[in-house]
Amino acid sequence: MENPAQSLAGGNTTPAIIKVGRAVEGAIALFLAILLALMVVAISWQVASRYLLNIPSMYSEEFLRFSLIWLGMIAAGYCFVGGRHMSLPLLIDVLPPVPQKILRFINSELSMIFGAILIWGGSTSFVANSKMLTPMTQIPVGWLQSVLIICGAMILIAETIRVLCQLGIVPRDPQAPAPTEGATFGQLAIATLIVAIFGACIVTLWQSDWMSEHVYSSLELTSTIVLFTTFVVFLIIGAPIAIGLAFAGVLTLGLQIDLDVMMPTVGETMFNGLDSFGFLALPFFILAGNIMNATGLARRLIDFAMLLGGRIPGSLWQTNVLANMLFGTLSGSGIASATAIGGIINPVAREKGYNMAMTTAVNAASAPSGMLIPPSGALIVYSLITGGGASIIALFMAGYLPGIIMGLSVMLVAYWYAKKHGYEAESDKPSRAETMRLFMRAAPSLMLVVIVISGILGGAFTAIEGSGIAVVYSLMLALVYRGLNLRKLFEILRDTSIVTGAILFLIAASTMMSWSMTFASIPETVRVLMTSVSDNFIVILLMINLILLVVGVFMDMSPAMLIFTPIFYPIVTELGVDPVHFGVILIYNLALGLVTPPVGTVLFVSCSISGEPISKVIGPLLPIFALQAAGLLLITFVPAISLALPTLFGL
Amino acid sequence: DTYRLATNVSDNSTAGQLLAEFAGAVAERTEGRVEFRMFNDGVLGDQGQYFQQIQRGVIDAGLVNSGTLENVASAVGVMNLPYVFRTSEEYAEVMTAPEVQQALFDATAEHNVVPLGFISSGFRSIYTTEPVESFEDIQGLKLRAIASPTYMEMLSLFGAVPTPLPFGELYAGLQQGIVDGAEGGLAGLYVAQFGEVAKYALLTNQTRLTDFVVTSNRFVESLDPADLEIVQEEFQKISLKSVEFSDASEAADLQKAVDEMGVQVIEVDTAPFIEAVRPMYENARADEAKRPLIEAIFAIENREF
Ligand code: NA
Ligand code: NA
Repeated sequence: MENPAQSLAGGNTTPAIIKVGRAVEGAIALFLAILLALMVVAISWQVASRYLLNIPSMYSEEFLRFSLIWLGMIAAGYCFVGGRHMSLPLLIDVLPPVPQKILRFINSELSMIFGAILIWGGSTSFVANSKMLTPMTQIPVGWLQSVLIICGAMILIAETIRVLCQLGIVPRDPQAPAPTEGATFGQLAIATLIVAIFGACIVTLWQSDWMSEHVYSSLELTSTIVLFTTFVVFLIIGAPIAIGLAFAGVLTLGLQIDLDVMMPTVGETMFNGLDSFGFLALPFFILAGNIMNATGLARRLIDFAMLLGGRIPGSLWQTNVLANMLFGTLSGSGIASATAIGGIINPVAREKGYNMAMTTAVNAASAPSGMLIPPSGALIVYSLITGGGASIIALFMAGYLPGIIMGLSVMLVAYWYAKKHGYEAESDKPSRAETMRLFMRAAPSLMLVVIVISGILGGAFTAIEGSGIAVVYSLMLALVYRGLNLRKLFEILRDTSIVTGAILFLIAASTMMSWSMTFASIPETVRVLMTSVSDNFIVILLMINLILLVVGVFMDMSPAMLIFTPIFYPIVTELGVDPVHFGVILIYNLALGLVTPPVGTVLFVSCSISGEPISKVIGPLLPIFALQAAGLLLITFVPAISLALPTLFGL
Repeated sequence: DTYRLATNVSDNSTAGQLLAEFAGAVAERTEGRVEFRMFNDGVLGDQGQYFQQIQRGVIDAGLVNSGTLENVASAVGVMNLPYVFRTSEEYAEVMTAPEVQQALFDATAEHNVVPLGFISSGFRSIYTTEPVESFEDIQGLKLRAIASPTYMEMLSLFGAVPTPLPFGELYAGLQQGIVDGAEGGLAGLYVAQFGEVAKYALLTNQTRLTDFVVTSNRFVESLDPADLEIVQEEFQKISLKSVEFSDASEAADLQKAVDEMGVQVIEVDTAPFIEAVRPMYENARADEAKRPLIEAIFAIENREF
């Protein structure tokens, strides 16, 4: 089928409208990059002014907190432009072309509706909260919340342009990341009709006496059903997961509050969901990892890992796992690790004739170990959710052994697989000189973890500030190795912002959803239910692990952590489980979820790097997953694995 | 009907216990017509966040302290001034005075909330990881301060170095030496276990961060006048009780920190501290919004400055 947009764009002259579009996108990207760079400066200043100059800065914390929200919200809007938000295109991919196009239109329209909700709510908040000032900088909170309007407008505009492109009214930019296929006005009309009919049905039902009676008599049950039905429906139709979470929250809240007050509540709870100093660790650790990667430091880590990995059968796999664990000491992101290490290992593995499905599985299953091996943003976020009940530095120490167990499980399966299929070790014992040489090459990057951990233990900076120090250190290395120019730095800052935006938007949407759950008293009901089943902590922990494993299949780590920590944390601590130990269980468990389809971001990334379809990777993943799950049981019922190190350091 | 009451404190804190008592009494006297469902531990957000929902009538009531309220109504800042209350008796007398309560109503009325009353949360002092005995000893110490210009200024005037640090990071901050101490309620030494690392409790008693319960206009309008009266009466009871109750539970927790963690309690001459913060009173008097309240309070306390 001839696509008018493509033929138009295929000419020699670029249409003006595309030039304008690119200019706007470029401006937004520049804004994001500059903001992120300023945040690095601010957190460095915060540490330096306190530790070196003894005049602690009063305003940097607030600046950083609100910058993060703006960065996240605007980058999230930007992600809609490129269709970069995570979704689950299972159903949409198997549909014939016409229904597929209709479904895409439906998804666009749903996103637009949510954009409109943000604009509506954001405008109300802007006015209502303009008299409330932030404590230190004395900026009206309403002004800060205007970012909701900006984000909503970006969603609305991005989706409108997408629809117009599909209709061929606006030419498609041939450089745009996501392909758009031509569609007809008739298909758009059908999509709009479906959305309108469903919308009308829901509004009517929500306002009916029948519904309000149900809400009144059994609020928790009704809300739970609405919540999960909405989420699952949105997941199935392939809408961005964040949009699914958001609508689940909106419809649950809609059961209990009037539309006009609900709109600002939706926006404010999303805004508040990002208002946490600890979330700064997410972009900063990702940024540090990306800088390290861009300057060729990942390569040095792999060479170093090969010293040991090369002597074990299935050498490249062993090396991949070890390098992922080493990379984990630079970055708290499974995605960054899978990209950096997998990106280098995969081409070599293909050349040497390694089974690529197994290669992909190994990379995916070992990449999340870096979320347990410190420093780790995930552990920081958990500590914050517990209100400091589990200290960050104790969690850092507790994460080492479980992170290594996660990696070792992969190495064991890889060894067994290699033996069975006749893969041999690639190298002999290296000479001492060679070992020394490779160690010295990797040492500067390995120093990062030493600097961060000793800086925290020594009182120079907090664990969260440590993420900023990691960025500064990796920048210094990049300068020394001359691996970075301004152009490349801009690209790294931009890409980090975009990845962060996608994650933060998920966090914001899931906070809003969990707020609506709390508002309907669902967590309280779950707590009562669980403790009525048993008060034996072994049974409870098993139950929690099972629930989390199931949840992890469908949900990404941050939303799952945000939703379930507040539910489970009080139950287990009351039963005497150590908060630090529980944090390790939780994150280990959810890290496994990053690799299980349908929603497994690390698996997605690993597959897209190797080009293997998910369906082929699941086979080799199963034994790894089984062994890692056994490791989970071990960690759950032998607290010493987690607590020995923190106890040793007196934390 | 069931109404949502949001707090950011735990069930077993002073305010948490008193509010549970209040909710029980109200439910009983109204025969279930007014039931409060508690949302403790900040599950509906922090104070500034649920305050926005109370203004809108989405949440019915919530606990907000004078620090949070100061960001909305600057007059309330007077209550956050150090040594504006020098004893618990002075505090109780001021907080129950009709003119002070009226001033509070006036300050919050334009923000679409109705204050129900106050709950005392005891005096705040200073605790450190290094031995201290006097005003001189805290000169140059890095003390963790809550994010409030008033508190930052106060600690600067004391000669300390006010250091912002999130509450969740305070324990590690004391332990690793990011800060030398903190400004806060001494019960925290036991409740939040800061006493494991900060062994010196200096009885400076500089401020009383007061908690207020505010309700939405919608809540007040939805209640039968007789029921509203019951709600107000029952709140008055816990309000009055809270002054003694918070002092007693604060003292009990501090005693536990002394017995179980070896914390040392140090009496200190507060005169130099009071003298140091005098400029803050002058600034408050120069502020149109704050002058009436500070003058009313000083009149009740019978003091010049
Ligand atoms: Na890590
Ligand atoms: Na998953």
